[in-house]
Amino acid sequence: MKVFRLCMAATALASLLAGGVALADPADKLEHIKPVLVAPPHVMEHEQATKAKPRVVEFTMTIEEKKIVIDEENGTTMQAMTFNGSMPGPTMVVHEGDYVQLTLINPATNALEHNIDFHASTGALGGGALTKIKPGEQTVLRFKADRTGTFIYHCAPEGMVPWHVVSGMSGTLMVLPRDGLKDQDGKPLHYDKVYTIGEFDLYIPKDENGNYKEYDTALESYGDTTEVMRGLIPSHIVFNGKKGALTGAGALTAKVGETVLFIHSSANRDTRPHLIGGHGDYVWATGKFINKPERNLETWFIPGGTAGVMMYTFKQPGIYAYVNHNLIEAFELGAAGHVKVEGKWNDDLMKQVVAPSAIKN
Amino acid sequence: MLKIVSLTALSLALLPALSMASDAGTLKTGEKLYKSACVACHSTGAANAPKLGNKQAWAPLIAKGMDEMMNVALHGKGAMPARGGTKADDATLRAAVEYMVSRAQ
Ligand SMILES: [Cu+2]
Repeated sequence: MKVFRLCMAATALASLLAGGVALADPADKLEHIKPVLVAPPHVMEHEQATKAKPRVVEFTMTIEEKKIVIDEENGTTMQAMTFNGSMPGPTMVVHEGDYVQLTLINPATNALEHNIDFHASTGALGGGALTKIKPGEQTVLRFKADRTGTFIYHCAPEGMVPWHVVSGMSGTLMVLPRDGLKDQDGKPLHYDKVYTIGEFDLYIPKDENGNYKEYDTALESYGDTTEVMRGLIPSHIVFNGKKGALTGAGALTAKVGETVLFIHSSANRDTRPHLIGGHGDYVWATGKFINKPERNLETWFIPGGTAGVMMYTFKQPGIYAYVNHNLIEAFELGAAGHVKVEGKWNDDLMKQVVAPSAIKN
Repeated sequence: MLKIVSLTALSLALLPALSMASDAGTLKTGEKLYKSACVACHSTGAANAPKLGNKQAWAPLIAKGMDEMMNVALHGKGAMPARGGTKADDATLRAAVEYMVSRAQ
């Protein structure tokens, strides 16, 4: 009943807007730019503090439904749905007061209707009511990014929202303050590089023998998958689309002295990131830059449906693990990645005084 | 089935309605496919799909007959993908349509 009422409201709203008269639009007069989106964990090139006037920032994303391997060791697959072919979708960066103008494409090769709900936007179910596209269609949505922070975007088709989200359809929009990030006293903060991590709780069904099932199409996986979803126990929890995506050749990299911004999105389920051997120097766990950052955090908490931000300056070389610190979720279910850091070891911060050896009497 | 047909479009739909009669085995097969895939839209009415068990929504479709319903099931219509987004064969698809029809009576 509740869902039904929501649908009705959305439909009424959409027709109201579609019927609106084309008045002179202030956004039309602004400069338009078209930055290039890149695949996670990387983030598109962008300025932090900017002298530019507000502008219309145009993006294009193409929805891709495809079968992916979520656990290479065991060959487990999922019928995924993605923005631009990646989990998470690419991170978009704009500045406060800019307009985001997204062209969303649903190619005829897909089977399902999709849309997009931006948590950063205002109205029409986050844009979801204005962006419903069937395979073979595209749409353009514009909204004003009038609040700073990192915000989730995700697909939200009426009647099957959770399935599209846990199948991969989410990403982050970062709206930076025009004068960049600030510490608790209002002093400027600058990062040298930025990574984006999307955490996904997956619900892969098993057969009678306890083996993960494989499906021919996304829709054929629907019934069993929703059954597992209703149990609220994920079969896998992964960063960026599969177990180990951010380890080995996929590990994040940094140097001693370098300041890294970690954007962490989780569209459906709570998580608690932690950098093993490091800290959160400045953390906006709920991702909104109008609030003062917390400092020196060991572990921070990102509620499901939120993108959070952590900034850290590396002081020691080595391999760090970046994990969800429910360690079962990290090491059994997959929510763990690595940061490979080069540089000189600092004995003052840590020193092995006696290497492990036999106990002396 | 006959009851609802007689209420809506008796003369038009009597023949196709008769050809829709289905046995328990078929309905079981159809229910299985329905529950794995079709349910995604037809349980909630997502993307304007006629909901399972909604007699009002199904009556005009049933009136058009099995051939037309199979045409939609095979080739898709609106937000409904061809074969309901599955790789099921024609007989299984037909069984799923028969199952949905049986629940609208
Ligand atoms: Cu979707």
